[in-house]
Amino acid sequence: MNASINTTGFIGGSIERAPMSSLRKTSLTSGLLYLLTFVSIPTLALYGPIHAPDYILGSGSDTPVIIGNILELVVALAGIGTAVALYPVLRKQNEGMALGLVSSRVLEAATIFAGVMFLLTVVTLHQTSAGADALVTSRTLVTMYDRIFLIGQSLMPAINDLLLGFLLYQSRLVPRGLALIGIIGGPVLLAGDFFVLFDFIGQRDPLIALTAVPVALFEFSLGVYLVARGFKPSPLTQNK
Amino acid sequence: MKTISSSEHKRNAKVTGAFFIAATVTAIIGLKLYDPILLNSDFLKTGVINSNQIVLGAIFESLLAISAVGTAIMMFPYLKRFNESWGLGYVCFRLIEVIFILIGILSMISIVTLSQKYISPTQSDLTAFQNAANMLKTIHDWTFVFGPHFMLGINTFIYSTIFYKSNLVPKKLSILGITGAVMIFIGAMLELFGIISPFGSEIIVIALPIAFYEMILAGWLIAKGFNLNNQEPAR
Repeated sequence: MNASINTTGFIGGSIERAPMSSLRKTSLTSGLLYLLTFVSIPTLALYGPIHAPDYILGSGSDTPVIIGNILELVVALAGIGTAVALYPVLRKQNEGMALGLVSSRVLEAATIFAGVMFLLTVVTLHQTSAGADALVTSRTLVTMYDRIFLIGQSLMPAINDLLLGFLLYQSRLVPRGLALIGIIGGPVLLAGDFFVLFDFIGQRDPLIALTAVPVALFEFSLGVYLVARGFKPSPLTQNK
Repeated sequence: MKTISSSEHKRNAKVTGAFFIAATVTAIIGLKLYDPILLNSDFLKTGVINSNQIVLGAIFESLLAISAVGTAIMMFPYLKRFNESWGLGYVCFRLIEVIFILIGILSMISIVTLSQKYISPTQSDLTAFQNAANMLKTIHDWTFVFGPHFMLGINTFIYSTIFYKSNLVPKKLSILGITGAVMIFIGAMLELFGIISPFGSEIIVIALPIAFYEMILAGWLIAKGFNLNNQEPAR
Protein backbone atom coordinates (compact mmCIF):
# COMPACT_ATOMS: atom_id res chain seq x y z
CA MET A 1 0.00 0.00 0.00
CA ASN A 2 2.63 2.45 1.10
CA ALA A 3 4.96 1.44 -1.66
CA SER A 4 2.35 1.99 -4.35
CA ILE A 5 1.59 5.48 -3.06
CA ASN A 6 5.28 6.14 -2.84
CA THR A 7 6.04 5.59 -6.47
CA THR A 8 3.18 7.68 -7.85
CA GLY A 9 4.11 11.08 -9.08
CA PHE A 10 7.80 10.33 -9.14
CA ILE A 11 9.98 9.49 -12.05
CA GLY A 12 11.39 6.02 -11.59
CA GLY A 13 14.76 5.20 -10.14
CA SER A 14 14.50 7.27 -7.00
CA ILE A 15 13.28 4.57 -4.67
CA GLU A 16 16.53 2.65 -4.39
CA ARG A 17 18.59 5.70 -3.46
CA ALA A 18 19.34 5.82 0.26
CA PRO A 19 15.85 6.60 1.56
CA MET A 20 16.93 7.33 5.14
CA SER A 21 19.16 10.22 4.14
CA SER A 22 16.38 12.00 2.28
CA LEU A 23 14.10 11.37 5.25
CA ARG A 24 16.79 12.76 7.54
CA LYS A 25 16.88 15.86 5.36
CA THR A 26 13.11 16.20 5.72
CA SER A 27 13.20 15.80 9.50
CA LEU A 28 16.14 18.17 9.88
CA THR A 29 14.54 20.85 7.68
CA SER A 30 11.18 20.67 9.40
CA GLY A 31 12.81 20.61 12.83
CA LEU A 32 14.85 23.73 12.06
CA LEU A 33 11.77 25.46 10.65
CA TYR A 34 9.84 24.61 13.83
CA LEU A 35 12.57 26.21 15.91
CA LEU A 36 12.56 29.22 13.56
CA THR A 37 8.87 29.82 14.32
CA PHE A 38 9.93 30.93 17.80
CA VAL A 39 11.84 34.02 16.58
CA SER A 40 8.80 36.25 16.96
CA ILE A 41 8.82 36.08 20.77
CA PRO A 42 10.55 39.53 21.00
CA THR A 43 7.50 41.12 19.30
CA LEU A 44 5.82 41.05 22.73
CA ALA A 45 8.29 43.79 23.72
CA LEU A 46 8.79 45.34 20.27
CA TYR A 47 5.06 46.03 19.91
CA GLY A 48 4.84 47.69 23.33
CA PRO A 49 5.18 51.28 22.01
CA ILE A 50 2.63 50.92 19.21
CA HIS A 51 0.04 49.81 21.78
CA ALA A 52 0.42 53.15 23.59
CA PRO A 53 -2.78 55.17 23.01
CA ASP A 54 -0.91 58.25 21.75
CA TYR A 55 1.74 56.45 19.64
CA ILE A 56 0.63 58.26 16.48
CA LEU A 57 1.09 61.67 18.17
CA GLY A 58 4.56 60.95 19.57
CA SER A 59 7.89 61.11 17.79
CA GLY A 60 9.06 57.65 18.84
CA SER A 61 11.05 55.42 16.49
CA ASP A 62 9.17 53.05 14.18
CA THR A 63 12.15 50.71 13.84
CA PRO A 64 11.13 48.30 16.66
CA VAL A 65 7.74 47.81 14.99
CA ILE A 66 9.33 47.17 11.58
CA ILE A 67 11.77 44.66 13.10
CA GLY A 68 8.86 42.95 14.85
CA ASN A 69 7.02 42.84 11.54
CA ILE A 70 9.97 41.20 9.80
CA LEU A 71 10.20 38.58 12.57
CA GLU A 72 6.51 37.86 12.07
CA LEU A 73 7.04 37.50 8.32
CA VAL A 74 9.79 34.96 9.04
CA VAL A 75 7.44 33.04 11.34
CA ALA A 76 4.68 32.97 8.71
CA LEU A 77 7.05 31.71 6.01
CA ALA A 78 8.65 29.15 8.33
CA GLY A 79 5.18 27.99 9.40
CA ILE A 80 4.21 27.13 5.82
CA GLY A 81 7.68 25.61 5.45
CA THR A 82 7.10 23.14 8.32
CA ALA A 83 3.88 21.89 6.74
CA VAL A 84 5.16 21.52 3.18
CA ALA A 85 8.41 19.92 4.38
CA LEU A 86 6.53 17.28 6.40
CA TYR A 87 3.83 16.78 3.75
CA PRO A 88 5.51 14.04 1.66
CA VAL A 89 5.96 11.93 4.81
CA LEU A 90 2.67 12.71 6.58
CA ARG A 91 0.73 12.19 3.34
CA LYS A 92 1.45 8.48 3.59
CA GLN A 93 -0.32 8.39 6.95
CA ASN A 94 -3.37 10.43 5.93
CA GLU A 95 -3.31 12.56 2.79
CA GLY A 96 -6.39 14.61 3.68
CA MET A 97 -5.11 15.53 7.13
CA ALA A 98 -1.64 16.30 5.79
CA LEU A 99 -3.11 18.65 3.16
CA GLY A 100 -5.35 20.07 5.90
CA LEU A 101 -2.23 20.92 7.89
CA VAL A 102 -0.73 22.70 4.87
CA SER A 103 -3.99 24.60 4.32
CA SER A 104 -4.36 25.69 7.93
CA ARG A 105 -0.72 26.82 7.92
CA VAL A 106 -1.50 28.93 4.83
CA LEU A 107 -4.49 30.47 6.61
CA GLU A 108 -2.33 31.15 9.65
CA ALA A 109 0.30 32.85 7.48
CA ALA A 110 -2.37 34.90 5.70
CA THR A 111 -3.67 36.27 9.01
CA ILE A 112 -0.13 36.98 10.22
CA PHE A 113 0.58 38.93 7.03
CA ALA A 114 -2.71 40.83 7.31
CA GLY A 115 -1.78 41.77 10.89
CA VAL A 116 1.64 42.97 9.75
CA MET A 117 -0.05 45.14 7.13
CA PHE A 118 -2.28 46.77 9.75
CA LEU A 119 0.73 47.71 11.88
CA LEU A 120 2.70 48.94 8.85
CA THR A 121 -0.27 51.14 7.94
CA VAL A 122 0.00 52.70 11.41
CA VAL A 123 3.73 53.19 10.79
CA THR A 124 2.98 54.96 7.48
CA LEU A 125 0.41 57.21 9.16
CA HIS A 126 2.98 57.95 11.86
CA GLN A 127 5.75 58.70 9.37
CA THR A 128 3.55 61.01 7.30
CA SER A 129 2.75 62.89 10.53
CA ALA A 130 -0.97 62.30 10.14
CA GLY A 131 -1.29 63.54 13.73
CA ALA A 132 -4.48 63.80 15.77
CA ASP A 133 -6.67 63.26 12.70
CA ALA A 134 -5.38 59.71 12.44
CA LEU A 135 -5.69 58.92 16.16
CA VAL A 136 -8.88 56.92 15.77
CA THR A 137 -7.84 55.12 12.60
CA SER A 138 -4.49 54.12 14.08
CA ARG A 139 -6.18 52.82 17.24
CA THR A 140 -8.58 50.89 15.00
CA LEU A 141 -5.69 49.33 13.10
CA VAL A 142 -3.90 48.27 16.31
CA THR A 143 -7.15 46.75 17.60
CA MET A 144 -7.56 44.89 14.30
CA TYR A 145 -4.01 43.61 14.71
CA ASP A 146 -4.78 42.33 18.22
CA ARG A 147 -7.93 40.59 17.09
CA ILE A 148 -6.37 39.02 14.00
CA PHE A 149 -3.48 37.90 16.22
CA LEU A 150 -6.01 35.98 18.29
CA ILE A 151 -7.27 34.18 15.17
CA GLY A 152 -3.98 33.76 13.35
CA GLN A 153 -1.45 33.11 16.05
CA SER A 154 -3.67 31.57 18.68
CA LEU A 155 -6.63 29.83 17.05
CA MET A 156 -4.89 28.50 13.94
CA PRO A 157 -1.90 27.02 15.86
CA ALA A 158 -4.37 25.08 18.01
CA ILE A 159 -5.82 23.53 14.86
CA ASN A 160 -2.37 22.98 13.31
CA ASP A 161 -1.05 21.19 16.36
CA LEU A 162 -4.16 19.09 16.79
CA LEU A 163 -3.81 17.86 13.18
CA LEU A 164 -0.07 17.36 13.48
CA GLY A 165 -0.42 15.70 16.90
CA PHE A 166 -2.85 13.12 15.50
CA LEU A 167 -0.71 12.47 12.42
CA LEU A 168 2.43 11.99 14.51
CA TYR A 169 0.62 9.87 17.11
CA GLN A 170 -0.82 7.53 14.49
CA SER A 171 2.37 7.30 12.45
CA ARG A 172 4.76 6.98 15.44
CA LEU A 173 7.27 9.19 13.62
CA VAL A 174 8.15 10.71 17.00
CA PRO A 175 7.60 9.30 20.53
CA ARG A 176 3.89 9.08 21.23
CA GLY A 177 4.26 11.06 24.45
CA LEU A 178 5.51 14.01 22.41
CA ALA A 179 2.60 13.75 19.99
CA LEU A 180 0.20 13.62 22.96
CA ILE A 181 1.40 17.03 24.17
CA GLY A 182 0.20 18.45 20.85
CA ILE A 183 -3.12 16.62 21.01
CA ILE A 184 -3.73 17.95 24.53
CA GLY A 185 -2.20 21.38 23.86
CA GLY A 186 -4.46 22.13 20.89
CA PRO A 187 -7.78 22.00 22.80
CA VAL A 188 -6.26 23.79 25.83
CA LEU A 189 -5.20 26.71 23.60
CA LEU A 190 -8.55 26.60 21.82
CA ALA A 191 -10.34 26.90 25.17
CA GLY A 192 -8.13 29.87 26.06
CA ASP A 193 -8.99 31.53 22.74
CA PHE A 194 -12.70 31.22 23.43
CA PHE A 195 -12.25 32.68 26.91
CA VAL A 196 -10.59 35.71 25.30
CA LEU A 197 -13.12 35.87 22.47
CA PHE A 198 -16.04 35.97 24.93
CA ASP A 199 -14.14 38.39 27.13
CA PHE A 200 -13.84 36.21 30.24
CA ILE A 201 -10.11 36.95 30.34
CA GLY A 202 -8.09 39.76 28.77
CA GLN A 203 -5.90 38.95 25.77
CA ARG A 204 -2.76 40.08 27.62
CA ASP A 205 -3.63 38.28 30.87
CA PRO A 206 -0.84 35.99 32.19
CA LEU A 207 -3.42 33.22 32.63
CA ILE A 208 -4.00 33.23 28.86
CA ALA A 209 -0.28 32.91 28.24
CA LEU A 210 -0.45 29.77 30.37
CA THR A 211 -2.91 28.10 27.96
CA ALA A 212 -0.34 28.49 25.20
CA VAL A 213 2.38 26.67 27.17
CA PRO A 214 1.56 23.06 26.12
CA VAL A 215 1.42 24.01 22.43
CA ALA A 216 4.67 25.95 22.68
CA LEU A 217 6.26 23.03 24.52
CA PHE A 218 5.01 20.63 21.84
CA GLU A 219 6.35 22.69 18.93
CA PHE A 220 9.66 23.45 20.59
CA SER A 221 10.39 19.88 21.69
CA LEU A 222 9.25 18.62 18.30
CA GLY A 223 11.73 20.98 16.65
CA VAL A 224 14.53 19.84 18.96
CA TYR A 225 13.63 16.16 18.54
CA LEU A 226 13.50 16.34 14.73
CA VAL A 227 16.81 18.21 14.55
CA ALA A 228 18.59 15.99 17.06
CA ARG A 229 17.10 12.57 16.37
CA GLY A 230 15.08 12.66 13.14
CA PHE A 231 12.05 10.46 12.58
CA LYS A 232 11.68 7.29 14.62
CA PRO A 233 11.69 4.19 12.44
CA SER A 234 8.06 3.48 11.62
CA PRO A 235 6.06 1.87 8.77
CA LEU A 236 6.18 5.27 6.99
CA THR A 237 9.96 5.41 6.98
CA GLN A 238 10.23 1.96 5.41
CA ASN A 239 10.73 3.10 1.84
CA LYS A 240 9.92 -0.12 0.10
CA MET B 1 -1.44 6.99 -11.52
CA LYS B 2 -3.19 7.92 -14.74
CA THR B 3 -0.76 8.28 -17.61
CA ILE B 4 -1.01 11.58 -19.39
CA SER B 5 -0.47 11.67 -23.13
CA SER B 6 2.05 14.07 -24.58
CA SER B 7 -0.70 16.08 -26.23
CA GLU B 8 -2.23 16.63 -22.77
CA HIS B 9 1.16 17.79 -21.48
CA LYS B 10 1.34 20.25 -24.39
CA ARG B 11 -2.15 21.52 -23.64
CA ASN B 12 -1.32 21.91 -19.93
CA ALA B 13 1.77 23.96 -20.83
CA LYS B 14 -0.30 26.17 -23.17
CA VAL B 15 -2.89 26.79 -20.44
CA THR B 16 -0.10 27.64 -17.98
CA GLY B 17 1.39 30.13 -20.46
CA ALA B 18 -2.05 31.64 -21.08
CA PHE B 19 -2.56 32.09 -17.32
CA PHE B 20 0.81 33.89 -17.05
CA ILE B 21 -0.14 36.26 -19.87
CA ALA B 22 -3.60 36.84 -18.40
CA ALA B 23 -2.04 37.59 -15.00
CA THR B 24 0.30 40.22 -16.44
CA VAL B 25 -2.30 41.87 -18.68
CA THR B 26 -4.97 42.07 -15.96
CA ALA B 27 -2.41 43.33 -13.42
CA ILE B 28 -1.35 46.22 -15.69
CA ILE B 29 -4.91 47.17 -16.69
CA GLY B 30 -6.14 46.92 -13.08
CA LEU B 31 -3.37 49.16 -11.81
CA LYS B 32 -3.93 51.72 -14.58
CA LEU B 33 -7.63 51.87 -13.75
CA TYR B 34 -6.76 52.54 -10.08
CA ASP B 35 -4.66 55.59 -11.09
CA PRO B 36 -7.25 58.21 -10.04
CA ILE B 37 -6.99 56.98 -6.43
CA LEU B 38 -3.31 56.06 -6.43
CA LEU B 39 -1.99 59.25 -8.01
CA ASN B 40 -4.22 61.98 -6.57
CA SER B 41 -4.15 63.45 -3.10
CA ASP B 42 -7.83 64.48 -3.28
CA PHE B 43 -8.85 61.06 -4.48
CA LEU B 44 -12.13 61.08 -2.63
CA LYS B 45 -13.54 63.42 -5.27
CA THR B 46 -11.96 61.75 -8.25
CA GLY B 47 -12.86 58.39 -6.76
CA VAL B 48 -16.54 59.12 -7.04
CA ILE B 49 -16.25 60.59 -10.50
CA ASN B 50 -14.53 57.44 -11.67
CA SER B 51 -16.27 54.93 -9.43
CA ASN B 52 -17.12 52.67 -12.37
CA GLN B 53 -13.49 52.80 -13.43
CA ILE B 54 -12.32 51.71 -9.97
CA VAL B 55 -14.87 48.89 -9.91
CA LEU B 56 -13.65 47.81 -13.33
CA GLY B 57 -10.10 47.90 -11.96
CA ALA B 58 -11.24 45.65 -9.08
CA ILE B 59 -12.76 43.22 -11.59
CA PHE B 60 -9.46 43.05 -13.48
CA GLU B 61 -7.63 42.49 -10.19
CA SER B 62 -10.02 39.63 -9.43
CA LEU B 63 -9.19 38.11 -12.80
CA LEU B 64 -5.53 38.54 -11.89
CA ALA B 65 -6.18 36.59 -8.67
CA ILE B 66 -7.78 33.75 -10.62
CA SER B 67 -4.97 33.68 -13.21
CA ALA B 68 -2.29 33.63 -10.51
CA VAL B 69 -3.93 30.66 -8.77
CA GLY B 70 -4.30 29.10 -12.23
CA THR B 71 -0.54 29.17 -12.87
CA ALA B 72 0.06 27.42 -9.53
CA ILE B 73 -2.55 24.71 -10.08
CA MET B 74 -1.33 24.02 -13.62
CA MET B 75 2.36 23.83 -12.68
CA PHE B 76 2.00 21.81 -9.45
CA PRO B 77 1.84 18.34 -11.12
CA TYR B 78 5.10 19.12 -12.95
CA LEU B 79 6.91 20.69 -9.99
CA LYS B 80 5.80 17.78 -7.77
CA ARG B 81 7.67 15.32 -9.99
CA PHE B 82 10.89 16.88 -8.92
CA ASN B 83 10.22 17.90 -5.35
CA GLU B 84 6.80 17.56 -3.79
CA SER B 85 7.47 19.81 -0.76
CA TRP B 86 8.79 22.68 -2.84
CA GLY B 87 6.02 22.26 -5.41
CA LEU B 88 3.44 22.52 -2.64
CA GLY B 89 5.38 25.43 -1.15
CA TYR B 90 5.04 27.26 -4.47
CA VAL B 91 1.27 26.75 -4.45
CA CYS B 92 1.05 28.02 -0.84
CA PHE B 93 3.08 31.17 -1.45
CA ARG B 94 1.16 31.89 -4.65
CA LEU B 95 -2.06 31.62 -2.60
CA ILE B 96 -0.70 34.09 -0.04
CA GLU B 97 0.12 36.51 -2.87
CA VAL B 98 -3.47 36.20 -4.07
CA ILE B 99 -4.86 36.78 -0.56
CA PHE B 100 -3.02 40.14 -0.56
CA ILE B 101 -4.44 41.02 -3.96
CA LEU B 102 -7.93 40.28 -2.60
CA ILE B 103 -7.39 42.44 0.52
CA GLY B 104 -6.21 45.23 -1.82
CA ILE B 105 -9.41 44.91 -3.86
CA LEU B 106 -11.52 45.17 -0.69
CA SER B 107 -9.68 48.35 0.32
CA MET B 108 -10.19 50.00 -3.08
CA ILE B 109 -13.87 49.05 -3.28
CA SER B 110 -14.37 50.38 0.26
CA ILE B 111 -12.86 53.72 -0.85
CA VAL B 112 -15.45 53.87 -3.67
CA THR B 113 -18.24 53.35 -1.12
CA LEU B 114 -16.78 56.02 1.16
CA SER B 115 -16.50 58.50 -1.71
CA GLN B 116 -20.14 57.98 -2.63
CA LYS B 117 -21.11 58.83 0.96
CA TYR B 118 -18.62 61.71 0.92
CA ILE B 119 -20.47 63.76 -1.72
CA SER B 120 -23.80 63.39 0.06
CA PRO B 121 -24.94 66.97 0.82
CA THR B 122 -25.94 66.10 4.39
CA GLN B 123 -22.41 64.92 5.16
CA SER B 124 -20.57 67.29 7.48
CA ASP B 125 -17.58 65.45 8.92
CA LEU B 126 -15.47 65.30 5.77
CA THR B 127 -12.13 65.00 7.56
CA ALA B 128 -13.20 61.72 9.13
CA PHE B 129 -14.01 60.38 5.68
CA GLN B 130 -10.69 61.50 4.25
CA ASN B 131 -8.84 59.86 7.18
CA ALA B 132 -10.65 56.57 6.76
CA ALA B 133 -10.04 56.65 3.00
CA ASN B 134 -6.35 57.42 3.58
CA MET B 135 -6.10 54.40 5.86
CA LEU B 136 -7.67 52.16 3.21
CA LYS B 137 -5.36 53.54 0.52
CA THR B 138 -2.34 52.89 2.77
CA ILE B 139 -3.53 49.31 3.39
CA HIS B 140 -3.82 48.85 -0.38
CA ASP B 141 -0.27 50.19 -0.83
CA TRP B 142 1.02 47.63 1.67
CA THR B 143 -0.88 44.77 0.05
CA PHE B 144 0.91 45.76 -3.15
CA VAL B 145 4.29 45.52 -1.41
CA PHE B 146 3.53 42.13 0.14
CA GLY B 147 1.58 40.46 -2.66
CA PRO B 148 2.94 41.31 -6.09
CA HIS B 149 6.42 42.17 -4.78
CA PHE B 150 7.42 40.24 -1.63
CA MET B 151 5.41 37.06 -2.20
CA LEU B 152 5.89 37.06 -5.97
CA GLY B 153 9.64 37.14 -5.31
CA ILE B 154 9.43 34.13 -3.00
CA ASN B 155 7.13 31.99 -5.12
CA THR B 156 8.94 32.80 -8.38
CA PHE B 157 12.23 31.89 -6.71
CA ILE B 158 10.80 28.51 -5.67
CA TYR B 159 9.43 27.40 -9.04
CA SER B 160 12.36 28.84 -11.00
CA THR B 161 14.78 26.91 -8.80
CA ILE B 162 12.83 23.72 -9.49
CA PHE B 163 12.88 24.62 -13.21
CA TYR B 164 16.65 25.06 -13.00
CA LYS B 165 17.24 21.72 -11.28
CA SER B 166 14.76 19.75 -13.35
CA ASN B 167 15.38 21.32 -16.79
CA LEU B 168 11.62 21.70 -17.27
CA VAL B 169 12.50 24.84 -19.24
CA PRO B 170 15.93 25.94 -20.60
CA LYS B 171 18.43 26.79 -17.85
CA LYS B 172 18.99 30.34 -19.15
CA LEU B 173 15.30 31.02 -18.69
CA SER B 174 15.27 29.67 -15.11
CA ILE B 175 18.35 31.77 -14.28
CA LEU B 176 16.50 34.88 -15.51
CA GLY B 177 13.61 33.84 -13.27
CA ILE B 178 15.80 33.37 -10.19
CA THR B 179 17.50 36.73 -10.84
CA GLY B 180 14.19 38.50 -11.33
CA ALA B 181 12.77 36.90 -8.18
CA VAL B 182 15.73 37.96 -6.03
CA MET B 183 15.54 41.51 -7.42
CA ILE B 184 11.83 41.96 -6.77
CA PHE B 185 12.29 40.53 -3.25
CA ILE B 186 15.05 43.07 -2.56
CA GLY B 187 12.77 45.76 -4.01
CA ALA B 188 10.04 44.70 -1.55
CA MET B 189 12.50 44.94 1.36
CA LEU B 190 13.52 48.46 0.23
CA GLU B 191 9.83 49.40 0.18
CA LEU B 192 9.38 47.91 3.63
CA PHE B 193 12.02 50.23 5.02
CA GLY B 194 10.58 53.20 3.11
CA ILE B 195 13.69 53.61 0.93
CA ILE B 196 11.70 53.42 -2.31
CA SER B 197 7.99 53.91 -3.05
CA PRO B 198 5.81 50.95 -4.15
CA PHE B 199 4.56 53.01 -7.10
CA GLY B 200 7.78 54.86 -8.01
CA SER B 201 9.99 54.49 -11.06
CA GLU B 202 12.73 52.59 -9.14
CA ILE B 203 10.51 49.57 -8.50
CA ILE B 204 9.45 49.47 -12.16
CA VAL B 205 13.12 49.10 -13.13
CA ILE B 206 13.66 46.49 -10.40
CA ALA B 207 10.60 44.56 -11.62
CA LEU B 208 11.65 44.55 -15.28
CA PRO B 209 13.56 41.21 -15.24
CA ILE B 210 10.69 39.32 -13.60
CA ALA B 211 8.18 40.89 -16.00
CA PHE B 212 10.31 39.89 -19.01
CA TYR B 213 10.81 36.44 -17.52
CA GLU B 214 7.10 35.77 -17.10
CA MET B 215 6.40 36.84 -20.68
CA ILE B 216 9.26 34.82 -22.20
CA LEU B 217 8.26 31.85 -20.03
CA ALA B 218 4.64 32.16 -21.18
CA GLY B 219 5.73 32.29 -24.83
CA TRP B 220 8.05 29.32 -24.32
CA LEU B 221 5.38 27.21 -22.61
CA ILE B 222 2.86 27.95 -25.36
CA ALA B 223 5.33 27.30 -28.17
CA LYS B 224 7.46 24.47 -26.79
CA GLY B 225 5.85 23.21 -23.56
CA PHE B 226 7.62 21.63 -20.60
CA ASN B 227 10.72 19.58 -21.30
CA LEU B 228 9.89 16.27 -19.61
CA ASN B 229 12.72 14.13 -21.02
CA ASN B 230 15.91 14.98 -19.19
CA GLN B 231 14.56 15.51 -15.72
CA GLU B 232 16.74 14.29 -12.94
CA PRO B 233 15.14 11.66 -10.74
CA ALA B 234 12.87 12.77 -7.96
CA ARG B 235 14.24 13.25 -4.50
